[in-house]
Amino acid sequence: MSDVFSILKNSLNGLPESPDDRWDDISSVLPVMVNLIVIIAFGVSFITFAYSFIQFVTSSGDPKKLEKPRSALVWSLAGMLLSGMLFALRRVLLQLLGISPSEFY
Amino acid sequence: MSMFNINNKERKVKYIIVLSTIFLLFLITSPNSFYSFAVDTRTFDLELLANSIKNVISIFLKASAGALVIMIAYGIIKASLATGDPRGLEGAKSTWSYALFGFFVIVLSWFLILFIRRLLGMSAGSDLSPGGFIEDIKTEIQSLIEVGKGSSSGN
Repeated sequence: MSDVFSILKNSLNGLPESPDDRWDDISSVLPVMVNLIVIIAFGVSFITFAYSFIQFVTSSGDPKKLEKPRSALVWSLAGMLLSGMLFALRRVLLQLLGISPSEFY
Repeated sequence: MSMFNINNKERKVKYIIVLSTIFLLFLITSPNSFYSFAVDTRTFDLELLANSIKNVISIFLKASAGALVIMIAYGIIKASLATGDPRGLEGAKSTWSYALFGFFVIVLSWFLILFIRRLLGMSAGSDLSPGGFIEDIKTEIQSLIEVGKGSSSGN
C-alpha cells in the first residue's frame, strides 16, 4: 500500500524542491492541477469499471440488463487506458509547443 | 426565461472576473512577470519587456497544453460516470472534440506566427517558437534604435 501512496505523492508533487520556488506563478500550479485531475479520472474510471462489472455479473444473462453494463465496462476500461496515456500525451504536447517537459513538470 | 438568462449571464461574468483575478494575481506575484517591468518605469529596458512578453506567451502555451489534458481527463470522468448511458457518452465525446478543436486552434496560431515571420523576412533564426519571434522583433527594434542614434550623432 505504501508504494501506491508514494506513487501518488510523487505524481502530485511535480513541483520544485525548494519551498521558495513553490506557488509563485501559475505555471507551478498547473502540473499539480493536471496530475490531480488525471489521477481523479483514473480513479473514477476504475470505480465505474468495478461497479459495471458487478452489474454485468448480477444481470444473470438477461440481454436487456446486459447491454448497459457492457458499454459501461468498455468505456471505463477505455477511460483507464486513456488516463494512463495522458501522462505521455502531455509530454508530446509540450514538445509540440516547443516547451521542454522538465520545465513544466 | 429572461430572468434565467440574466442570472446565467451574471454568473458567467462573475466566473470570468474570478478567473481573471486569479490569473492577474499570479502574474503580479510571479517574479519575472510584466508587472516587474511596469513597476520600474524609470529604467525602460527592451530586453526586460521582451522577456516579460515571452514569459506571458510561455505561460499561456503551458496553460493550453494543461487545459487540453485536463479537458480530456474531464471527458474520461464524464464517460465513466455515464455508466453506459448513450446521452452521457455523447456529452463526453463532445467534450473531447471541443478540447481537440481548441488545441488545434492554438497549433494553427503557431503556424500563423511562422507565416507572418516569413512574410516579414524574419525567419533567419533557428528558434521557431513565438518567443523567437519576440526576440526577432526586439533585435529589429534595437537595430532601428542604433540607426537612429547613428544618424543623430552624425548630424
